[in-house]
Amino acid sequence: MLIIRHLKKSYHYGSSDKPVTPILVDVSMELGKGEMAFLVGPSGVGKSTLLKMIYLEEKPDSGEVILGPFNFTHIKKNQIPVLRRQLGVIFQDFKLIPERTARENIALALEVVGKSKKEISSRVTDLLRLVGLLDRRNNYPDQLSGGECQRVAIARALANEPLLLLADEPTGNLDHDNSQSLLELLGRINVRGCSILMATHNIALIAQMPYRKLFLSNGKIRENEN
Amino acid sequence: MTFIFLTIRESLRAISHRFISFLGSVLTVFLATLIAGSFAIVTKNISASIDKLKSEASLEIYLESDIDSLTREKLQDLLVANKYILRIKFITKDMALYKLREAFGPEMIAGLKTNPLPESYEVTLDPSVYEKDNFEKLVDSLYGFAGVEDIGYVPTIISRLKMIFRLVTVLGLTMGVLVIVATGFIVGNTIGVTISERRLTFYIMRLVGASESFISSPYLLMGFLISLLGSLLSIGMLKIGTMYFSNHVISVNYLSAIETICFIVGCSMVGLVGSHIALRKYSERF
Repeated sequence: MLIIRHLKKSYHYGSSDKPVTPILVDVSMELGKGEMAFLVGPSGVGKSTLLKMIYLEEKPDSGEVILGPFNFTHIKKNQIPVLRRQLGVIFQDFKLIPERTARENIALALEVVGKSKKEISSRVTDLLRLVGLLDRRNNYPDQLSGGECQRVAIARALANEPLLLLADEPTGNLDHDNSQSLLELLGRINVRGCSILMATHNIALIAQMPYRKLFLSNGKIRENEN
Repeated sequence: MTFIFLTIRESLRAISHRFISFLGSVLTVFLATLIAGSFAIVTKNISASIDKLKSEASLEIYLESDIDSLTREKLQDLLVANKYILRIKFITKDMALYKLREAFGPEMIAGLKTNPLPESYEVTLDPSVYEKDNFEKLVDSLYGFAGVEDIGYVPTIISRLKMIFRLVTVLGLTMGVLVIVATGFIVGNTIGVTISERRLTFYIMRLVGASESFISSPYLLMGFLISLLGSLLSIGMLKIGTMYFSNHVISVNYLSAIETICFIVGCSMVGLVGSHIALRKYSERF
């Protein structure tokens, strides 16, 4: 379902005639439908860059990204929103809108795609139930704990039933118990059929998890490396 | 949910988030458009005054006391043939004296033993005579006609009014351009600051698949509302001002319904364009 072939990405620092710093040298990987995998590597190795190229915040220098029927190489600007509706993204810092309640933050993802009020209400209730926050639906992000904020972010990411959920260091701001609880939640979501690619530097946290581990180092991906 | 409902809701959310800034922008646009509107009204009134004077424009051609009937008839033919002269009326000495008495009272002529007033022609002019230097040419040519003693006219008021009109028009146009730029800049700046403050909302909306039109429409509406409210306030203030001026000082023409609509729509469009430019400039950063 997600196919990445020979992806390259370098950054120019300062003016364009300065030397480039290669981040991704030759990244290739595949993720099947309903599959869950961890993208592992130390900070600064390019995990977030790779995810950004999947959710189209950045363009690769070369290579191909294919998600379902979409080949990103040939995608037009006006197709980007359509493609992003096939993706859910969660971040270390949750990225919840502070002046909206948990319910409103989740509903936003449904409003932008033109769902009816009734559909939104029903879907938001389902999602809040899934992440265990139905009773906190009217709380604002600053009234929720870090773990709860991340659950709201997950609910928002799942709102449009994406093909793929991308998680960029989602446990980075959580304690061990909340991190474990979040991984269990992601596992339950994966069982429902949603593919998940989660970037993390915390190898200890995921060591015992029964999912694929893709190690990113020196700009390349290797699988199941010790 | 409908696109329009969401646009209005998001716009109101953005306005309430930065209400003081929104209010400040409305007041600044109000002041800018008030100045532009004042110039428009002044220009319109000067123009109307000139048109009125032009339509009432006339000359008095005083004839020599010893003019013979043949010369007078020739002069009359020449006047009738002139393209800038619409009508002529011959005023006898008695008629002139009667008019003087009507105008200033019988005391004015009480001491007169003989009628000192000359025969004359009252000439109604075509308004086109005030274009370029036609009037001066006409007066010069009339002085050259046999039998003409003198010519009475009030060209200075018209020429001065025309000069003021030109000045006010140039100033008005300059102010208009400045107000357009200022309004666009004020609205654009407010939208830019609002977007900067709401960049997380922008980012999240893009991430969850919102189209650019969905993201930008609330801010376009906000810019439109700033300039619409600003121009409505200034139109209201100008209306009150002209009413007060008309009642207490001198009768002043206000903008017509079409001019008022054009003024409001024009200002609102400037706000819309200003916010569109701001959106293009700022939104690409987030």
